[in-house]
Amino acid sequence: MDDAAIDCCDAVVTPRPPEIRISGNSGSITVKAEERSDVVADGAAGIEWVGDGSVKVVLSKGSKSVAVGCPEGCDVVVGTNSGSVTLLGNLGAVRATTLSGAIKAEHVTSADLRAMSGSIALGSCEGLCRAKTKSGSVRVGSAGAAEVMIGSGSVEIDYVDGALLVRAVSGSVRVGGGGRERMEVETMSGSITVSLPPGCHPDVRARSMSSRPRVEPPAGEDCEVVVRTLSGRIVVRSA
Amino acid sequence: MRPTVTAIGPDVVTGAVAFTDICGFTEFTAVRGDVEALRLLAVQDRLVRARLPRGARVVKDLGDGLFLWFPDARSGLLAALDLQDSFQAEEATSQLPLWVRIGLHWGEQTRRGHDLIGHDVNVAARVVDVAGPTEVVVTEAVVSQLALTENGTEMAMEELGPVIMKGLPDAIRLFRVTRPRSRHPADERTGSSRDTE
Repeated sequence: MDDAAIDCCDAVVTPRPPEIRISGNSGSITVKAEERSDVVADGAAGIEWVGDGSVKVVLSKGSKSVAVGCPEGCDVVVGTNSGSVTLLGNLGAVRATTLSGAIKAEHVTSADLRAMSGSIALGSCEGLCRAKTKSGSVRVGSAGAAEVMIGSGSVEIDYVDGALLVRAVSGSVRVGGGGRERMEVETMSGSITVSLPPGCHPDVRARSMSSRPRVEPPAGEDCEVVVRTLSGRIVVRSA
Repeated sequence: MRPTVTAIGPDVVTGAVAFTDICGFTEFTAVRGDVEALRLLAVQDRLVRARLPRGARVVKDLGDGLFLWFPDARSGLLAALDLQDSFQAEEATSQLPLWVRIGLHWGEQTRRGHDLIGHDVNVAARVVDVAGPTEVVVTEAVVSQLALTENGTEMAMEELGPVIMKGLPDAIRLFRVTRPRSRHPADERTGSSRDTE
């Protein structure tokens, strides 16, 4: 995606950052937050100011891709059948579902991202990040808190400041935490690696049916770490 | 509360349809074996039957899932939330991974013997695909029914947006429903000790 601002066709001017609502059958959807006060769409059939604080982007029939430009801080709601969803810039609360296709978001205040088959990638999320995919990986840079549910595929979360819950059916999980709130990771089959800040003394409950968990940090009460797998290796370590 | 069953015709009823599904059941069976898998199903079955409200029924057993019917949306939704609470409580004590997801939709269903069929049944079956383990996801039709009868203080709703689901021509607004006190599933768990096996 280039850095050029979206400048085109239909536009509506809104009094404050609106909620952008988009639903379409197929074709990629890109929403880019940028320094502007209006909402524009390239490739859409039209834009409607709904009046309840939201802007509805009406998509064309077929599989045409659409690119939407909006003010920074907008909330975004996207539902699509097939096609990727890309959310660029600094956005507010984002919710996106797709049957098949990847979801990518850069910087958001909160997120609920769901793909049936497709990977999910999120740069940073100030608050709760919820991600679910049946088949595909989940990759998160940083989040205030996170809930990740995955069928098959890997989970990588560089840093979660608050509470974490990961449930993965099969696939490896690698997470890093702030070491202050509860972290819970469960897999049916797949290795689990939890990294904690240096000096963190966690209260760890670890259980693997296939091998003895390796817990490196000294025990304490800084945070609760619960890790369970039916089949896989468990490592809790200091970063 | 009296059930609000409405008979539209000799073979058509209105009500709430729920589908449940145990996430990872195939993997669990592969790792733990058939005996443990049967135990997991038995636990799910016991908990569900114990919490079905009056007038509700298990329409069909779908292997690791269940097809449930409720005479009204409110009792169906409250039962679904109760079930998730009971699954998590059971998991905490038995260590069985009851990663159950539930989808709920309100509409009309056509009787076919003991079974129910129809578009609204198909919608409910798709809604469960959007839910994750421990979640209850409902359609706008359920929310509309609730709005007719109460102020919704018993539950918190979070819109997931217009969702396009396989085989359905139009997007349907879906909502994730929780009890207000349990925004994070981890918040429900208590007690800890350093314990490695």
